Amino acid sequence: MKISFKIHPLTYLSLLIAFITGYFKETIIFMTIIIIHEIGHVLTAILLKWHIEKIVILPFGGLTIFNELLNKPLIEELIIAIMGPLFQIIFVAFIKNDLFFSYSNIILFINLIPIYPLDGYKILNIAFNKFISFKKSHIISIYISYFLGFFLLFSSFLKKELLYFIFILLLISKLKNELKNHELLFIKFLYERYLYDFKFKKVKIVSKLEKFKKDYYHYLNINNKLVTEKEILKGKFLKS
Amino acid sequence: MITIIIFLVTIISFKSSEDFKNWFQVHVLNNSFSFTNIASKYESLFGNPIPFKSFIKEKPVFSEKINYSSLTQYNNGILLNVDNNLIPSIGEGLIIFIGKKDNQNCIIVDQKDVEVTYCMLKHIGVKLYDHIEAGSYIGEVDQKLLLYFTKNGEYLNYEDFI
Repeated sequence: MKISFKIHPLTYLSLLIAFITGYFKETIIFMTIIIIHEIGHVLTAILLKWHIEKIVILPFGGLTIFNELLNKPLIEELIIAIMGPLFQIIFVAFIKNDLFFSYSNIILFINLIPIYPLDGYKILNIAFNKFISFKKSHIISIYISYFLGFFLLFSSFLKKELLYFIFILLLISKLKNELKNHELLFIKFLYERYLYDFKFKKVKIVSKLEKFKKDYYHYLNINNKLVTEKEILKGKFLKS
Repeated sequence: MITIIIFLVTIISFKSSEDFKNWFQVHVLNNSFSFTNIASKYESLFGNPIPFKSFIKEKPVFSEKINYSSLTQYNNGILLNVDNNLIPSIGEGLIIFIGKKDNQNCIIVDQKDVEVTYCMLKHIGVKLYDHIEAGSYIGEVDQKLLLYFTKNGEYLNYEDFI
């Protein structure tokens, strides 16, 4: 498995600013914690046999981007999402250093805010997917991300925190793309179910495709007749 | 690659030009990069480079001033007979040097517009590149504290600072 590693240009800018303002120690601590955090995600993903496309180091966090099916079990998604923060917490507890502890808390706070594509968003989306449809979970999570994103953008502007402002802008730009791809993602979600035979243990009867949930196999109630999701999806994708 | 190029260009310039060598000595080796000045200008315009840093409350060990019973000029600095062996920082800044100078344990704090050198320390309570507040503990002396106030290699009048 070839995993590419990238440092975002904004990270270089923040490193330069940190260097010329004398925040060497803080920067090293930040970067160390971010890398440990991403190692947590990566190791768990490898154990669960997920395909990792790349790791991106952002100024105040990191991203592990997967090339995986959308219909992966929710529990696997959750384990991978929480292992990053957990790894970081264990590492800091092991180090027993006040500065590491303080900066780890900052990174945890930033990372667990539910804004796409941070871990907080993933965990929130997973929680929504437990109770509501894939499509609805995705759109609600995005709207919450937008709300929080603009709130943080506004507050960082008022507090004159330039780097964090730029960082939130970066997240909002990624969010914009995710919203644009909302329908496409839903099509991908359905298409995977058409292509592959997932072995879902739970079953649900729904009235339309938009109500499909992760981890469930569906029957559609059409004119009081139950049709399997496979048959419906065959009709949808073979027609197109 | 860029670092190697800069290094080679500098070495070649040294060999070929005496003027460049002198300029380099004055402006690069003798002058110090004032991180604290840049940090304070940056923070006044763009906030702290580390977000939410203000939420980290550093517990001060103590918040004091240097109290001394006598002061004498010593070389280009001043020798104080301190009342308390525990030495606080005169101002806010960044620790840019910890080590020996003239066989004495010294630390240098880069403050805004001045570098303060604290010598004759028997114990140092800070680490290199620590950011310290005014009045925070930096080290311990036996009875005497030697201070120097410099800016770009030139000694300044101590009365402006203490």
